Amino acid sequence: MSFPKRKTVKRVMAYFGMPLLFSVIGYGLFYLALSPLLSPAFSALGMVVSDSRPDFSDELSSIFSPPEDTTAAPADTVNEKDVQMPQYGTHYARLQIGDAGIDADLYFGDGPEILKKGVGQYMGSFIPGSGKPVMISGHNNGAFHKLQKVAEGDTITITTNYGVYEYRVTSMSVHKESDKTAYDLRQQNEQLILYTCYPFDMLGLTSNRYFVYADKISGPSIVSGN
Amino acid sequence: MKKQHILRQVISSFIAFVMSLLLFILTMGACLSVTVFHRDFVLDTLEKAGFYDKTVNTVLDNMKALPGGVPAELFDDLIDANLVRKDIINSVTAAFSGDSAYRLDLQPLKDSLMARFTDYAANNGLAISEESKANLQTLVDTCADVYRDQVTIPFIDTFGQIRLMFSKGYTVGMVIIVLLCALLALFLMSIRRYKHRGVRFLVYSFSCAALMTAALPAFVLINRAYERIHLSPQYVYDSFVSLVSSSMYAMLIGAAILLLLALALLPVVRLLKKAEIRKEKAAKAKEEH
Repeated sequence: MSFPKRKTVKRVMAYFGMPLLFSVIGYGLFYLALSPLLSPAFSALGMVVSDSRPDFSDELSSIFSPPEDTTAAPADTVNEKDVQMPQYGTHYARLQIGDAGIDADLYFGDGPEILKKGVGQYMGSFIPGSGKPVMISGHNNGAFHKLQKVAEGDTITITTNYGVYEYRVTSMSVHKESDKTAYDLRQQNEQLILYTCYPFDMLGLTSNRYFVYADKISGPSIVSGN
Repeated sequence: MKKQHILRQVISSFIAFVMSLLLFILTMGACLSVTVFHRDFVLDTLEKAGFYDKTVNTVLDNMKALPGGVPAELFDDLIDANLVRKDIINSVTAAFSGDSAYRLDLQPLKDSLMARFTDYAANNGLAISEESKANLQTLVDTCADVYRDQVTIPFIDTFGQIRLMFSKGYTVGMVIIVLLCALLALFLMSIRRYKHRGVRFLVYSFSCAALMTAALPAFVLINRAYERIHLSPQYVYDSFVSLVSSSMYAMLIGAAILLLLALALLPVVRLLKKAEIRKEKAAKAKEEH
């Protein structure tokens, strides 16, 4: 390559190389200057940015399919590997109280969008079969309007993919919504606790809650298997 | 002589580098001031995303879902898009001007709700006891909270404070940067014997500023991390995504303008070089004579 041509090539390369070099140095300097602010900013962003775009579909997901074979003898236990744990908003069971005429889809979680569709399990409680309390709420002008008709001795059935659970109603009571003595989620018994707003046909938002308590009478216990 | 030349090159490179940083800051500042930090831009983005109508629907749906024991029809036509627009414009304006004392006026909404509930009770022969009055008031207050939660744009107060800090120094800052750039350019030209070489360094500055200005929005638009932010409901998410992407595109336009300026200086380099060659030839010819 002749000398003038080499010089031209060098000059042309400089038009690309110099801005690139300046950019790298410039961004490096900005990073050094702003890094005390950038780290906490990225940490904060990490809390609200996830791996995928949010899903705004109105349909709540369902993993519930009623057992086909109802004639087979119910098992005493079910392996936890065979139990699909529901996520928030998942329809995973059906709750029925034949005597009171209640038949509602049971969801995991108890947010407003869930209670519009059925009844919701409080996420701080446990799923049926775990041997610990199951706490379920519903609207008094919705799925749990007929909860007032439930009486002692009535049977409550919760049908899941992994088993059918029956509970016998033991008592009902009214408590203030802030009364934490109305239920005990740390007990080691599988007590079913249903609750809704009270009085049932009162205008406005009430501060009382109507509780129905029931003890488990049948259904497979979830066990850890190897 | 060679040492002087190297020193001149180093100083010119340094001046060009500083100028490119200043141009980058100037462009970014200008882009932010006409996009996310501009009240009308924000409100326009919300309007285009259908924010106001969707807020009305969400507010009414959430109010109807409350277990208040009243029929859903009582909430029909309770609020409209104009009311929502007015309240949002006021809250955005207050946030952008640093008015921390601004509060939404929810009393007309509460009065309207209570009137509807009591009329319903009266028309249906339902007695309102003291307990019912208290429960209805709780329902009214909860409905007002639902409205306020939906009409309040997330993080708007924090954003308003950032914007205020930005706007306080913006005009003075921009003027200072422009003056500094002009001074640096003049100094660069003054230390170069051959002016076209000085202009060449200006080209480097503008090109670097264009590259730096384009890099960040290009990364954000390719990466699309802002689309994975979990904001709800959907119209809030759509508005946020629209705001961020519009701002990024504005920065790309700013980078394109800088690049065009750099390209516009290239013929100037060529013309100056030709003029200097002619001048040198004329001086040489005169010497020989």
